[in-house]
Amino acid sequence: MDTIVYQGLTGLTAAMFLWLVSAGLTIAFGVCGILNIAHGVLYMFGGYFLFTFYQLLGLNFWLSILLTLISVGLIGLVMELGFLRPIYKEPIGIQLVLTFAFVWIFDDLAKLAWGPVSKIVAMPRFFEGFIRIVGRPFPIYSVFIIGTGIAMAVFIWLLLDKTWWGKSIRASALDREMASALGINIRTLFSGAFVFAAAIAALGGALSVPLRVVGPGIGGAIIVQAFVVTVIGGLGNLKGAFVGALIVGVVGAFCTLYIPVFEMFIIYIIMAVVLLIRPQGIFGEIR
Amino acid sequence: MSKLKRLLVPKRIPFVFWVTLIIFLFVIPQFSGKYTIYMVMSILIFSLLCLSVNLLLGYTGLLSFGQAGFYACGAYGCGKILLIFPQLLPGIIGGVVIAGVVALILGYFCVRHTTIYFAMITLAFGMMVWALAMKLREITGGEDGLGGIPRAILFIHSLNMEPMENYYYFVLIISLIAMFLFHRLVNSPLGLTFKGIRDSESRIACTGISIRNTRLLCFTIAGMYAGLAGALMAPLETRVTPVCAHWAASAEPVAATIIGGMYTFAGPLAGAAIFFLLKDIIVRFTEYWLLILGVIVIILVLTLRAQGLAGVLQQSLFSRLRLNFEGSRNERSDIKH
Amino acid sequence: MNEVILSIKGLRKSFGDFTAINGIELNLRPNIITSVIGPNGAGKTTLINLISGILHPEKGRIFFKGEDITHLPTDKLVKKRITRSFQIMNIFPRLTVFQNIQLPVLSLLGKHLKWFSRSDDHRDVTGEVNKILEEVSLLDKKNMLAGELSHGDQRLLELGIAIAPRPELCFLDEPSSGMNPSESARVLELIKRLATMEKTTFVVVEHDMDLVFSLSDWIIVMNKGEIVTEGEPGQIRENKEVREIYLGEEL
Repeated sequence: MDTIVYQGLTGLTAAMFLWLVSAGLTIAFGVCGILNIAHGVLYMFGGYFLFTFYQLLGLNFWLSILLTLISVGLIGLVMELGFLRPIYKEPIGIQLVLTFAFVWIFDDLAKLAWGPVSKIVAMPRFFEGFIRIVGRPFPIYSVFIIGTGIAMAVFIWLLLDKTWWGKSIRASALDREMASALGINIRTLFSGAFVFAAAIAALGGALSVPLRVVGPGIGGAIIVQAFVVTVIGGLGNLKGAFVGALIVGVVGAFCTLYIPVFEMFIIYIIMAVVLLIRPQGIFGEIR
Repeated sequence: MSKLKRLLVPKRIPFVFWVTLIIFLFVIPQFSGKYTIYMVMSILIFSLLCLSVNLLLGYTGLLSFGQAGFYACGAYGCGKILLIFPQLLPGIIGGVVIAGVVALILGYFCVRHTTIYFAMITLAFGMMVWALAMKLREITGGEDGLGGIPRAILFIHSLNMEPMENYYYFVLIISLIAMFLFHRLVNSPLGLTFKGIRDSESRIACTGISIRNTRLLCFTIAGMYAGLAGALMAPLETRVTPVCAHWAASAEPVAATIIGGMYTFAGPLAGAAIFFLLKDIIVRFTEYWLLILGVIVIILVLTLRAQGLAGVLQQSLFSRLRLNFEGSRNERSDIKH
Repeated sequence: MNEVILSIKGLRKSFGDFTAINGIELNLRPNIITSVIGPNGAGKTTLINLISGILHPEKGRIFFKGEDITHLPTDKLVKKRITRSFQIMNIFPRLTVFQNIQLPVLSLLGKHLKWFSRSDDHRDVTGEVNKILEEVSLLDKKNMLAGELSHGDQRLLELGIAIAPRPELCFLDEPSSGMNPSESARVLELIKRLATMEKTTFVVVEHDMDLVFSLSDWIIVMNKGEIVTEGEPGQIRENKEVREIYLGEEL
């Protein structure tokens, strides 16, 4: 019994990182209509920048996170302004190839800047240690991650539901022309939304480095999982992204425990099953 | 008009170009070394993969980011067969059939969805093939892959494909046949049906055509072309590894096709050659070739957009020669040649 | 007079809280031209979408010559010779005018899956396509890309695609929208000619009242998802309720 709970919590932790990347992907897609394959690389940069600020420069952990978010946000801004804006109206193939080229470029830039060896960060002092859950020691940091993930979910929900900015975003996602007729500056809004999406992914990456390594290629790996999560949860749907991430994370964790052979492709099987039963995703809408 | 002059009439130029190219391809081995022959073969194989991508993308409006999965099915399938029964043709055909069957099964899940979903799901399924290739050690050799694949004989021992030159001719002939069939396909009623689906999904149903079934047909055929590419590659490299199924491998033909031009027949072919040569050159100069390639792709995509190089070339060629393609036999002006 | 080609019973469709179609009962007579009129939002296009398989009703049944077609998908309906045109342009923009008509004809003749022959090699198809293009007066533009036609010509092409499968029952959703008077007159002529020559039953949704009254043998008036009344043009013109719905408009 305690094994189950423990493994479940481990899966939950993994799910939170997935949730953050998927949330960013979903917002970028839902608002700007861009399917950003490079979103995983933004997660990767989150990890790298935290490594630089916290480990290399020795800055305060929280300050490092803030600086990381700003840095990756800027990268996102440059991407959106310079490269994504011109191709909003082009067919999806163009968008995917362009964002994919960014994956190549960013991966190599990462190698150039930080070297090909993966990095990891020392656990911040105040997060060291364990708490006992069902009689087994569970890392405090993981509890922090789970808490942050849930807090972000609530935060994003509040942001989109209650604030004027959030409502503008939702309106623009539904009907661009109408929103602009209401005086909403679409361009600024889109840029803002994309930067926000980038920052969320970066947060995921930043929080992951005390636990997992960051290296070139991490971005490519996590975007695949984010895609699966999005398909399972329903495209353009934040609730779906959250639930999808939970499913993928937790089922993956249990699979590692009980049927390790399947571990690599269990998520594809889940995706296939969801596609069979409910093709539009759990929370998706039928077209 | 002398016969030569008749050949140079504007309408005939594409024909002349293709014939010249084919002749050139046939005589290349006579004056080049092994490496050049190997390169040309690789480009031909990559072209087939690009055609596979474009059948779905340019003609039917579906972006697949998982064609490398079917490429791998063809490669592994062919490899396995050749290891047991070293006869080339059964290996190739077996690879194509396996890829086709897998495409048919996976297609069932994919074709109900449109564009964005389709891209994501195909990417995921391609990665599933990769994961299976990595994990099923007994069948696929795991991360090390299948090795020692013989460049087997073609029917009889005297038709030994071991020498690079012989295998080259085999690959060339098969590729040309495949490209010819592809050309016929996209200009046929079925090809028109695909284009209709690309242009207007809601309208196509109103012509009495079932979108889902036609898409599945398209997906299966595309899968077979990708499988053919993989099957031809296996004896060439004599080894197959899982990396050929990774989504990064799926992205390359997509990039090449878009650069070449997705709305023409020649586009994917031109894109394949350009992409392959670019990569080959850049790799020699720097280990950060992905960076350079990425920058070039971004520049090309931003300037060429959906037309691609072939599209732009066609337009400028037409306007410069003041060609008028309207006239007899209801010639189309959208997809040329 | 008692023949019925299409019969609808108790049709209902809602989108969330909004009831678009609220219990429609309808019996369409064959070989006449019926118009459906009503203010914006009355549910006219939704009704066509429900009949043509694009939307599914929650309740109710639709019968075509006695056969239940309520849940048939669009392509199967076309095989039964029920077609429609669209209010929002729905042609194939990257194909030529010729190819736009070629597709439905190929499908009609069951040739759309042939993969080795050239599409243009089928003389029977070519002949039929040219005939249709002539009927909609687009023969001279047959090699133009459909996306490059003028708006009026695109509407005509839209019409052409709808009649290419030689339908028995054809729904036209605002066929003359955005056209100038002479173009509208052309459409009027065409529909009348096709109705007589091909014995097609047309159901036309229209806002242009002149067109409606000169074209129709029968008029159905819809409002707020229901059928308010139906009858011959003369009766409808005099009907008080209808006048109220179109408050102030010249009938």
